[in-house]
Amino acid sequence: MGYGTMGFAAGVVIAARSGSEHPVVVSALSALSFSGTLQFVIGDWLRDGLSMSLIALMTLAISFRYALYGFSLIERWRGVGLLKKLFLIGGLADENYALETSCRLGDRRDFVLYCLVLTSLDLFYWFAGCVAGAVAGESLPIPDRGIEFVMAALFLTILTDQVRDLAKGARR
Amino acid sequence: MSDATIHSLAAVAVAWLVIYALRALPFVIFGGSGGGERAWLKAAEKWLSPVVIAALVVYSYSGLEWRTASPYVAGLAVVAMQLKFRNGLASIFAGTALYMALVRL
Repeated sequence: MGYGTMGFAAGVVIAARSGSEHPVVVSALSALSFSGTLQFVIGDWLRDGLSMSLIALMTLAISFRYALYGFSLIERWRGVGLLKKLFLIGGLADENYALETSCRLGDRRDFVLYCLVLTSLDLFYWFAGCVAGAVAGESLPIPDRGIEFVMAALFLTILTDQVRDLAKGARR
Repeated sequence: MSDATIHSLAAVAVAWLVIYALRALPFVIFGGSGGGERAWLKAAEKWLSPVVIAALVVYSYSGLEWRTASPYVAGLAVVAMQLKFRNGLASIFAGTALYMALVRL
C-alpha cells in the first residue's frame, strides 16, 4: 500500500525539480527502475545537467545495497524459470525485499508464487503512484518547498530499522 | 523531442541499467554454485548496508537547509516515530510535513 503514496511523492518531486517538459514520461519510465531512492534524487541531477557517467556513478553509490539483497534469495528462487527470475530480480526494492524475506511459506512453489504476486502488485502501485504524482505535480501548484526532506526521512527510517536489528542481534 | 528530454530519458535508462545489474549480481556470481550462505557475505550484508545508508543520510542532508535547526528537528521526529511505531510511511510523511512547516516559519 505504501508504494502508491511514496510513488506519488516521487512523481511530484520529479515534476517539480527535473525541469523536463515531459515529467510524466520521465516519472513513468523511472518508475520501472523501482527505486524510490533514485527517483527522489534524479530530478535534481536532471536539473543540474549531470553527465551520464556521473549519473551512473552516483546511482551505483546510492543503490549499492541492492547488490546484497539477492544473496538471501538465491536458494529459495532456485529452479525458477528465466523470465520469472528476471522479473523477480527487478523487483528487489527495499520494502518488497523485506516482505519477501519475512515470508514464512515453506513450500518453494508457494513462496515463488507469493513473490511473483507481491512484486506485480507493488510494481503496479508504484507505477500508478509515480504517474499520478507527476500529473498532479505538473498541473497543480503543489507547494513543494521542503519536500526534498522526504529522501532524508526515507534513509533515516531504513537506518533506524537496520540499527535496531543490529542491536537485537548483539543482545542475542 | 528536445535535447533536455532525450537527456532525461537517457539518464533514466542508465540508472535503470546500473540498478538492475546490482540486483542481478548475486545471482550471476553464485546462482550456479551452491553459494549463498557464506559468512563474509552475511557480515557484509549486516554491516556494510547500514554504513552506506548512514552515508546517504549525510548526503541527503547536504541538499537541505542544514545550517538551520529544521532538518535536525524533523530528523529526530522521524527516528523517534520509527522507533515507537515501526511504520515507515507514517514516519516519512510526518517528518516531511514537519520539515515543510518548519522551513516556512
